[in-house]
Amino acid sequence: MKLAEQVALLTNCGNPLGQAIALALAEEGANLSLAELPGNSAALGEIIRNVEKMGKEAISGEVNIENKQQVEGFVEETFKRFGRLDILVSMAVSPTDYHRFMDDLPMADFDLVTATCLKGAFLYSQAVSRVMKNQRRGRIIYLSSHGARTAAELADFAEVTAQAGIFGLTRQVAHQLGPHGINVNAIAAGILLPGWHFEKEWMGLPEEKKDALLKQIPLRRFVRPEEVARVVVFLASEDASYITGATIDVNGGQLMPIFPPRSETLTGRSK
Amino acid sequence: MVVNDINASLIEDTVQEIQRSGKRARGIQADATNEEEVSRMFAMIKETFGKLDILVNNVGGSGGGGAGDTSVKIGEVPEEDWDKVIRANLKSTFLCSKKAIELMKPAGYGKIVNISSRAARLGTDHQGPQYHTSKSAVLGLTRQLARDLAPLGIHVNAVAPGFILSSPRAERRWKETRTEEERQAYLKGIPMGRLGKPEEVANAVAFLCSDEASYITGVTIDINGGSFMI
Repeated sequence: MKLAEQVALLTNCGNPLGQAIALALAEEGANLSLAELPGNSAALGEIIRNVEKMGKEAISGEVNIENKQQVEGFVEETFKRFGRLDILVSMAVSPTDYHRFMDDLPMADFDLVTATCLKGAFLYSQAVSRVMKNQRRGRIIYLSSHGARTAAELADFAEVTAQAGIFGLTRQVAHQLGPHGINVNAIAAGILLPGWHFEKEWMGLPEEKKDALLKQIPLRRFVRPEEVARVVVFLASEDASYITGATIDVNGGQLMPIFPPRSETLTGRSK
Repeated sequence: MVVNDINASLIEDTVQEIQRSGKRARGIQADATNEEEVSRMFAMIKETFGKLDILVNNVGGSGGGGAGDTSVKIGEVPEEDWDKVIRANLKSTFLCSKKAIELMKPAGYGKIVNISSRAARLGTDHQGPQYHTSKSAVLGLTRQLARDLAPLGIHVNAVAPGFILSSPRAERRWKETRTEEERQAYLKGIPMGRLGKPEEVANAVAFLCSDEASYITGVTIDINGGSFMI
């Protein structure tokens, strides 16, 4: 087991990706602390049951990710419960589930997405870094998306913007925490099926549009949550001991741009 | 495991170490920059094992006896040095990949990992342009192969290690070609404050070769303690 007796805190994890990551970490021996936004924690029940079946412990809590006290409180609760905190997996999941263009985006929604994706990641990092500095060891892993590495058709404008900010956060936090023995990295995941919040929209697309999108991915398929989870385990493990400040692309080869670009677009709107 | 090197005694050390761990290993001495010798090596692989799942392109060099001995300014680089380093780093990767793919295609499965360098990500003052250029070119080759081969089930990725204490020569290079002050200044540029260990590169290579990396292709993993981030 690569993470025996370690403790991992997962944020915004009541979704198929969060579940896959939680189970992969537990399988490697980690105990878990699971956070969700207020009102969303029902989704954590199943994860906890599965983790307990594997003989590991899990606690959960509802945390307003924009609220410094609540974030610090949950980190403290985790430390009190387990006596250590080794891994933070910060998921910047957008609270909205439709894709919008610049002109259609209400300012309040922009603020909401930015707060959930970016401010939350910052507040959690700040809170866990205090514990990890004392331990002289820690791992912070940010989940961001392929869309934020380039630009994306089926994505929310605000989400792409905020998730791109995660890469800057990764490098800066890595720079500051490296001397304290804390490795900080990001994962830029491609489109997840199941679990993508545009899954319904995708299902409704005509076949030729689906084909056009899949053709942009050299591996010709979307990423499964477990495939992202295994990269999280790698980054959390000793196998990645000299890797910090990096962004690992898990995108089936999609980042490599095609030249000349394909004229066909998925929605037709961004031509 | 098939262990290749141009130097027979180095092959023997590695083969024995693998065998001590209870695995099968065969050494093949060949110059990986020579097409004929590469063809012979892959014919032997086919004959012995009947298949090839993984290729790690680790052949390389900075020319001369190491960074300390290399003329690093473009005006001082002899054409032979340029050719030699490009051959070692780039042509070996091309030739071995070309032959490996012939074995991987029928199986519809394969993993290729190319050992590039942090020198492909930035400029340095201790390596020549031939080294930076060839290690950067390896990344271009990685992406192009990844795109072409993904539909055939073959994954192609690279790692870009920083300064790794990978051999007695590397240790000498670290200790003998720099003053204490220079060493401290160098380490200050690395957020983790230390050089890398060979195992830390090996672990990332093993990860990329495993099915844990099943949706990863065309990428470069930086193993540099944070000294270059993108």
